[in-house]
Amino acid sequence: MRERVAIVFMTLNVVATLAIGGAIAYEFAHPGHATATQSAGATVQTTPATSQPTAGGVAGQVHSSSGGTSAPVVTAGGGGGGSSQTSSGSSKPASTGKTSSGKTSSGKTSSGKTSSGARTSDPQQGVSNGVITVGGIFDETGPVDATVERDTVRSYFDLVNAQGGVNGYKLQLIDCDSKYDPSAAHQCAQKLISEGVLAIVGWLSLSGEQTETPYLTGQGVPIIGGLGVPAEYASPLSFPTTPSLVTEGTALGTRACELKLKSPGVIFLNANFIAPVEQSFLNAMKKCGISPVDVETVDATKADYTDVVLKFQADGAQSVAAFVDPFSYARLFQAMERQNFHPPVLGGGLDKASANAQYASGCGSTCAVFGADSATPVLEYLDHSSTPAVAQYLAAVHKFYPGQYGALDTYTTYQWLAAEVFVKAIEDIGNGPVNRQTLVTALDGIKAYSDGGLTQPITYGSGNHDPLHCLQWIHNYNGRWKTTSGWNCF
Amino acid sequence: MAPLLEADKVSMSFGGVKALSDVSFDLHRGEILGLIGPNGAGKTTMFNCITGVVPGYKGHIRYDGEDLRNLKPHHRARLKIARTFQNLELFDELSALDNLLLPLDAFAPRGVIGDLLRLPMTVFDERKTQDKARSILHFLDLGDHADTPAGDLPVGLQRRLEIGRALALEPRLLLLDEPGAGLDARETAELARLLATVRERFKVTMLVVDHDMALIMRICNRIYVLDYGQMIAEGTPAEIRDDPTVARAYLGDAAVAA
Amino acid sequence: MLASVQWGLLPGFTVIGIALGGIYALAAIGLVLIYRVSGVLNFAQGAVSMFSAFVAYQVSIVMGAPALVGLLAAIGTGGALGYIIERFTIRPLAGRSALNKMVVTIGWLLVLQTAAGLIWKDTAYHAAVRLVRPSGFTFPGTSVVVGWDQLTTVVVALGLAFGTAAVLRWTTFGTSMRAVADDPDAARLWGINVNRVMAVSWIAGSAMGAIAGVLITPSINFDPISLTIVVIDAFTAALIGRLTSLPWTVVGAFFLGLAETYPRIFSSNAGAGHAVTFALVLLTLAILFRPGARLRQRITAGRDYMPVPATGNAPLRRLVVGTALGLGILVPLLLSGYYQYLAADALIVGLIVLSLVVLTGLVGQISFCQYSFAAIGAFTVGSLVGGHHWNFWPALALGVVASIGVGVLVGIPALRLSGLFLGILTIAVALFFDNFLLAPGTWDSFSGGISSWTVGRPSFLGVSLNGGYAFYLFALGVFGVAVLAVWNLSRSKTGRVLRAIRNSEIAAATSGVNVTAWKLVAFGISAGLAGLAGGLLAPLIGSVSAGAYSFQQSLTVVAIAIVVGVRSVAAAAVGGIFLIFGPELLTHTPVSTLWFPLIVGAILIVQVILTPQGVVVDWQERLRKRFPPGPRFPGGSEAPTRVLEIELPEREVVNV
Repeated sequence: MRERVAIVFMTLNVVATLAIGGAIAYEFAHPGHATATQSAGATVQTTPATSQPTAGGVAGQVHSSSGGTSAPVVTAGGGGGGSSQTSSGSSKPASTGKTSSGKTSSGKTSSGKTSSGARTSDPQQGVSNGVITVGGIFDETGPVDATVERDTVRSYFDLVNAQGGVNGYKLQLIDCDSKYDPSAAHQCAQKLISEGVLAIVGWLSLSGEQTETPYLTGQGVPIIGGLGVPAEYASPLSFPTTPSLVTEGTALGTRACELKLKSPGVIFLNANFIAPVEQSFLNAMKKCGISPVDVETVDATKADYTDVVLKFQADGAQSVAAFVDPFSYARLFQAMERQNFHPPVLGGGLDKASANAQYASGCGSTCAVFGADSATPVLEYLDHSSTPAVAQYLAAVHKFYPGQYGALDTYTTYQWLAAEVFVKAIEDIGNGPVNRQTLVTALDGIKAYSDGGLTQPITYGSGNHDPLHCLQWIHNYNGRWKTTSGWNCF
Repeated sequence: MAPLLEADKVSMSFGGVKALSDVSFDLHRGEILGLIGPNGAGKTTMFNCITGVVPGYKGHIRYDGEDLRNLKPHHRARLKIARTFQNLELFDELSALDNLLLPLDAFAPRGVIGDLLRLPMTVFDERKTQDKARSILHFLDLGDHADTPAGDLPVGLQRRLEIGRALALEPRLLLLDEPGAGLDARETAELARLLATVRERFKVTMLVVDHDMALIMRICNRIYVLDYGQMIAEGTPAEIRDDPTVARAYLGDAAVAA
Repeated sequence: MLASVQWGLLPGFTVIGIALGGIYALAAIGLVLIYRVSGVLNFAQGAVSMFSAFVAYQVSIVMGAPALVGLLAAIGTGGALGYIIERFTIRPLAGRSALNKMVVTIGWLLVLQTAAGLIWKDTAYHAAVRLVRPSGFTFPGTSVVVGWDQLTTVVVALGLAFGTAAVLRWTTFGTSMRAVADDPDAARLWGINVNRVMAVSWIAGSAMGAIAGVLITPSINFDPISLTIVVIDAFTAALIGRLTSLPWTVVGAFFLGLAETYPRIFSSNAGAGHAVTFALVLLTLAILFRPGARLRQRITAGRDYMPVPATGNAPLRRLVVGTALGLGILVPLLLSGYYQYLAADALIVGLIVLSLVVLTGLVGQISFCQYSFAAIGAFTVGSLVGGHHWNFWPALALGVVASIGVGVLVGIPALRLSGLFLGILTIAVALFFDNFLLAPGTWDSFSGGISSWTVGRPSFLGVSLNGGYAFYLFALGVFGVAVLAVWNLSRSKTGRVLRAIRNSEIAAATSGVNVTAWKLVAFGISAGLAGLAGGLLAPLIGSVSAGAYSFQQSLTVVAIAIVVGVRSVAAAAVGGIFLIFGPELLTHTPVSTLWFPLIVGAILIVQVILTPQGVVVDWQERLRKRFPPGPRFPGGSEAPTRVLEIELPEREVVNV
């Protein structure tokens, strides 16, 4: 009996391997969506048939291996590599993550039609069949959970799609998990390019943003949103929706002065973009004569902060200034509470609601987060929930991704803004062709966009972009974050 | 002439148990020496000491006058000391032929590159060693099973193969650890004949451990008896058979008294 | 100032160290109990703890029940998992080598870890169940606060350890447990219900693991991976206790906790990684200096071996290889750039599987650090090409040489270890790489620190390898040459010697084989292949960072290699394709790619159980009847077989 089972099992094994081979064959037999890579800035002609030249290499230079635009070979698109799913709420038919250019839907012409001057879709740049496809890179697994940022972008797209889309286009986000690892982020970038996304809209990849921004720029892919790492302010194709982290460092340093923090113990996250941020922070503090008693760098995976707290105590720290990811604060506070160390706390990015619940669990009235200070470059969402822009934002997330509602914070707001900015640019393109070039032009043309006061007005212009420099102070009153100032600009 | 193998007050303990206590014996060229004793007497331990498998014994073991201490097992094999194992340590996966090829293979990793690249010289060398191995197989009447995996052979043939593998080393000293275990009377007789022929043909000196008295008495020139790690008797088969100390060791006091 | 600061920190750090030790002790107790009674080193212990802790999370945090209820749910889950694992996946393996059972537990590790990640999300972001308040009391005489939860952990650890030791020593059931530990067959003859005893040990060990999980998670990152890693520290503690003595395990655990904590006084970079190094160093020492004869090792009742068929059928083989080669050259021409990239990736990973074919398939040594060897190749190329602008080819050559060197270095301690402990040693090496060598701050000019290295595509003989197809062809060429070389090796004298070593080290030694040197050769070749793979991955991906070369990767590739068949050289290609295109295949199904490790783990478990020699030999016989063998090659060559055993020299020298 066992023998028989074993034989069956081994047969299944062989079948599975053949199936994998078959999947590959299936891939190339069925036309997928665009997979071509573009060299920076090149325009792509609309192709008259459902055929595209095969594109070689995703890394390094781009070349077309068949040498011409009329080769009849059909390429296969694909997902995979990282874990990527596409879904944009209710309006997408399949979960396969690609649209096949053979189908027609909702009366839209397939990519087979050309019309000069009129709207033409370009399957090679994420526009096909009335669907605009963009990509996002997020640290979805690992010590940081950025799925909420991904779902925030999707919420906005779902909202827009539910209202008929933008200029007749529906929106779709393909995400890729960068796993808090620079190589995975790089593979994500390559993969999204090979899937022919129009742009990167919304990303939160602590390990990947700094290194992939130059790479994506080199490939001609516009980027909207992001955490605010320095590289995002040094590229004409990058459109951040937040002040740079260096600016935030200066802001927090200045705030430290205002609060008259004494002898701070300082903690920074070990990240590849952190050095200039640390610099700006410490310099701003130096201006009013504050110098830290101890500066510690920690990994996002650090589980126990007791040793940091003990060192701070031994060094005579009378305050704590920190710039780590939202998930690490809980562990820091836990250690502080246990050691009965309750100095004033100043931290960047402290306002994640679900994290707050974790910060506050079991510590009664002595929670370390109570009385903490932070700063945010957008309206503090929980404090302004009746402002129309904020209300819309919260409602959308609540409607489409209710499970993520509790994880919103200042960082997710930037991604919402990124999605909004993107859609605005598409609107501004109007009836013209939608491709990377026209997108960049439209983005450059955005003036004073503030989404009803959610953010300070954003104006891009051509060249590198650094549109935002202002933050508001927030303070934690027994678990609730309240805004304590207007806009402070740096 | 100096003995080929000389054990000089060899002692060995394992975790408090004295496996061997001051064991001394001589083995002369061309002899077949028997080493017997009840279970647990230390016979296999003695073998392990001679072949270098367990280090850390006290006393001396000299081979051709040379002290074997500090020589690794493969060095001792190079000195032409071969052994078989009580529990059959064949290379089960390898064919009978391959089992014999192994001792003829390089002592140290030489020719790995040749193997990787399958150089003609390497292939040629292989053919030569193959011939030698086949002749031993034939001698042992195992020629038909050259390609059978050793683990698939019946026990009797496996025992023969293990002797064959030892012979492939072209040994001067052959240590046989219970070669007759698991054999019936007919097979034992065949084994005895085989061992005699081996000594003739290959000019090998042998040290045999076994429980089968008939076998030992038949083939050995001299016999040593161990009990609880100590040597209690020594002599020709006839002398040992009549020695009451030996009987007591095997059967216990009551039986002897009776 | 510095001196006074350090002394002042000592009491506080001692508390941290002891608390940490308590955690390790808790994690180790179940492990030791299971090993002691059933002889299985349960790699899934951490995963079981973690899964049970997540169940507690679900019950107490998500569903809002009291913490105690969560704990009970966790204990129930742990016990149930322990029973299931033992009854259905270990018991059928009775008589097989301990390494097979260990491999099954690795399958469970993958299954449970992935399942937890799927159910509860694979992030560190879970509030832990707190049984005890984290507040504490000030240790008299110092300013150090000892948390009640820390104290509870230590007390529970001590209680369970000594309690279990007492049960084993003084109760009847405990005696029967010890009898089974010594010799299950004899115990059976004495009328002891061996099955029941085994089951109880697994249930108890897993339940204790569950308690450990719930108590530990407030202090560490509560994600699917961390508890598994804690188990490595637990292994170290257990080894200090010689895997049998619970009191000594506890002592070892505290020692380990302190040894890991004190260095943090001096390091201003409060990174988690550095601390683990000490666990690993201690692990290595513990393994190396363990007294060999005193550790209990099962003498396997039966021999597992996979007979190598004398010859394969040459024309058939040529046909198969020719077809595969043809397909391999033509099909990717038609694929998209991304798929060409994946195909090249599959072949390069195939090189790593090939490295396991050499090490495990030929010599029978298992290794969980192949990706660490690959990392050497990758980072050598990365730092030299990316950092110092070397030409790619000399950097690659240097990378391969370096990995061979490291392979030999790792092989040296491995020589004295048998399969199980060698496996643990290689895990220690993998974690050493992950947490120390490649971590930022240690050797940034090699690892790149917190940035990654960028490596462009080189040119080969004047042809640029930028294109997807060009690079793929190159990878195909390298892979083909490597496969040919290893195949030659397996058919040759070297192959014979290595197999002989695997079958019987002692007989090989007494037949004149310098076992040490040969094993080191095997390690060197294996590490070299992996290093070559890493060196090629660098230009393929374009960037080199530590995340791609982690212990998890090494674990997965071992699982896949076993699933595919470690003895077959052809397995390498299949393994690579499976590992790379498997998740890809999943994207076309409703099932998420995150399921892939779970599927691999499940297949692994089933594979190890359902592979009685008979069926495979049967298949081979059928194949041989259908296609009679051709002319013989010297040394014999093997036909590729699909699914195979792993067999290791388990037997220590039998004394007297």
